[in-house]
Amino acid sequence: MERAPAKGVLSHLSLLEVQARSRKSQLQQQSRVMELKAKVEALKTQREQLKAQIQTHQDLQKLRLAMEKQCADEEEENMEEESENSQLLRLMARHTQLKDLLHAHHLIGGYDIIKTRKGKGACVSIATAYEDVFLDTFNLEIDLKPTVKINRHNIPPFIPLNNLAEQNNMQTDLRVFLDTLSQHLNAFAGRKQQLKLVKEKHKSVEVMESNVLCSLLVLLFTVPREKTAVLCTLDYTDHTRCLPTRVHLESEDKQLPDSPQWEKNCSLLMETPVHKALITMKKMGSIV
Amino acid sequence: MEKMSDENTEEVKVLEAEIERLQAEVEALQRQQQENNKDITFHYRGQMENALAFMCGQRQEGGKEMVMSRLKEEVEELEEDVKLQTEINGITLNSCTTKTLQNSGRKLVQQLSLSGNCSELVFQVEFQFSEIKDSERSKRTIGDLNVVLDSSDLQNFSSFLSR
Repeated sequence: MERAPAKGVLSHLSLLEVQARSRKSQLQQQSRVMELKAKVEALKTQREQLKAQIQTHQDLQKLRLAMEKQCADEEEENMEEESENSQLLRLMARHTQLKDLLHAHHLIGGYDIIKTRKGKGACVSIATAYEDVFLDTFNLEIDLKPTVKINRHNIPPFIPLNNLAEQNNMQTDLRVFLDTLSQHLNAFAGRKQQLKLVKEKHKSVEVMESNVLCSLLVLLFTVPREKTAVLCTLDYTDHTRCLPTRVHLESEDKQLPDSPQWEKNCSLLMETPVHKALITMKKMGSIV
Repeated sequence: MEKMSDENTEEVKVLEAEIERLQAEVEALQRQQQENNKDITFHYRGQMENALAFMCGQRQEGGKEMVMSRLKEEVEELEEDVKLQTEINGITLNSCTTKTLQNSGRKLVQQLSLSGNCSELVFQVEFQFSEIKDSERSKRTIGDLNVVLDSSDLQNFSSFLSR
């Protein structure tokens, strides 16, 4: 007797459970549908964005090409059909052109200069290079008003910055001052690079002494066969040059420095960058 | 109730297929954009970024006028910079076309074509510029130099070129 109602209750309960589950799964499916619809909309928006960016890029490229042609050929500006945003597009193209010109100035060497603090100052970068390779860059922060004064810089202390500034009338001709400074810096970079190459490529040659300015170099050569030692001093007293002003040789063999072969080597060292001179000297059998 | 669930499954399938299609489209467009981005001429920063966003339909504060006027300010600053740079280098550049041949993370190779004048000398220069960055420094080299001059002074110049 109790069974009949229990069955009824149980089966009712299980019916309710089935209904609840199916409603849940229905809700899940509906929210899944909504989720997917949202994702479709998001992807569509992303696609339209990308298309617009790519289109703008193409339009700018076309416009730039026309602009460069105009500049090079000095043609009259021809008015293309004005679209709604063509003024903005032209402005954007001009922006890229100016940026490119600055990049080109940067590459053709010379000095990079940026105005700071509303024209009261400037940052100048001087690049150094030796044998087709760019080396360190040096920077100066200069006050332009009221007087031309160097504020901050990363130029090594052994370069006589203040002397150069005074001697070259930095106040009146910034360009001349920078030219001289650049000469000193480039020569220094060149000498430093030569020293680096000697250490790297000529392990049989010992570097006995060098200084931070790389204006003095003392090398120890070994003569093949007899294994005589030759001490070679290179003085670079002209700091605007990468070649020595004086070459001095000393050896246990007192005759050696005056021999024709070594007189030749002496001239070679005066006229050729040291790392290259050493290659020749090795080839000629003068040194090991 | 089961019928509704069938319809739902159908709709889900259709939507999933559309999503797959759209994702493929977006990926293709992203690849194209990556190619475009290799050209450093068209790197958008600052006001250019805002201008680009505006061109792509995104609302910008102040609308078109604001975008234009801010960009104009930046363009005027750049014009000042170019003028200054021209003064300090003593070289006037009139046109500059660059073609980026390679731009991976470490290596940049560009083909540049410049025309301009220096004092009275009018010139056209083309060269290839490579920059390789490693951990501490970047190595920059210039190659394939080609110079076109209006020429009376060629002799002095050819010795410079051969260096």
